[in-house]
Amino acid sequence: MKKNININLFGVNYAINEDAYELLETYLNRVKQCFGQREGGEEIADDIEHRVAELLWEKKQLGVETIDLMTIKTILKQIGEPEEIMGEEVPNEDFSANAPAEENSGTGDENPSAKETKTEKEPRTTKRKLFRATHDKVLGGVLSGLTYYMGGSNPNLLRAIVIAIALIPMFCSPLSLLSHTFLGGFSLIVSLFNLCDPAFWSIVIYILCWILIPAADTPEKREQLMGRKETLANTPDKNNSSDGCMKGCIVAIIVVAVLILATFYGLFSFLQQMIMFNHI
Amino acid sequence: MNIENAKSQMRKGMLEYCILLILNRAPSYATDIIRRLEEAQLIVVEGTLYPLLTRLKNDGMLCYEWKESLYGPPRKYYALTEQGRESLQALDEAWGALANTVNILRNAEKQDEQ
Repeated sequence: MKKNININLFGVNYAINEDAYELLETYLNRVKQCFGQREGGEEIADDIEHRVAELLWEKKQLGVETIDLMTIKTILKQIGEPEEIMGEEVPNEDFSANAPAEENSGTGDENPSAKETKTEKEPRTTKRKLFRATHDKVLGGVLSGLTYYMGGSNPNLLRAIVIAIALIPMFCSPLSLLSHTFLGGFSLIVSLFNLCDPAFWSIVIYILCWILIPAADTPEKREQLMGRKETLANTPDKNNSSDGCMKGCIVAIIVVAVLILATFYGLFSFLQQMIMFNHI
Repeated sequence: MNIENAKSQMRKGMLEYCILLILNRAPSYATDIIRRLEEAQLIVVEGTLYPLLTRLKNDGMLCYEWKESLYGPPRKYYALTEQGRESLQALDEAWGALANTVNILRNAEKQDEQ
């Protein structure tokens, strides 16, 4: 079963599969990005959007009821990737954006497949933005988002560390362990609202992150989070980034350091409470 | 010498002239122009045309008007301006001279072979 979306392009409604819509949206945004910096860039993007609409209209006339991913891919191949379009332009001193034209002309423009493999081999990296990785979440995708943002590939490590650190004082502090054993669930709830407890702060910080960090709910946002561009060539899910392990480790170490500090703070507070308890 | 590169440079150099030629016959919208250029195998991907049209328009060679269409979204019909026609004339002359030179050289080569 596939989810359908209704879109309106220049006054005509089209039913389109969700994945096809996402690809189209990403493409049009990239066209806007690529041509946006130059004079008349918006107009070029608008012209291309009109062309897409025209081709979709033709499909509709042919009796295609729902636009699928394959149709969009064919249309976009026909119009061309923004980089491909720029590479075909007549060199002109007016545009700094024409630099790739020189680079591409050597590979021979009659051979688009060669270019595609080139882009596939060297995925262009974009400036990363922090989002919640809602496509790989346990609760809100905060920790997986953080892992991907820093270039890691396995969010489970960070999850384990955060949970462990949040729970450590409960088992380390004799008073806390005692109270947990004797008072059971009630004290656990009390402990969660204890301002000195790292578990409390973990939850508060997590919920704050959940609220403040936007969700990566479109392919475009996901590519900003992962730091790579989604092109026609790599649209199928290939989420293997292997070179980010170092960065992931560094983040994990920083998070661990912060949480250890929080733990000591928590232990210190418990000791304080114990001393006060003894005094009474 | 890279053949593909040389071919591509020739094609790119011809493109503006060809667009002006097409529009000189009748005002057309982008898809009409694309079809004619594709017939002549002058463009590889359709999108190439749009930045070119916008630039020619900004340079004052072309003007356009929107027309509603019975076959899809509204269309932008491009036409040559006075300046565009003048430029076309200049390019016509340049092309004539170029083609002439190339023909002379090609014929000379053939005569040598014979």
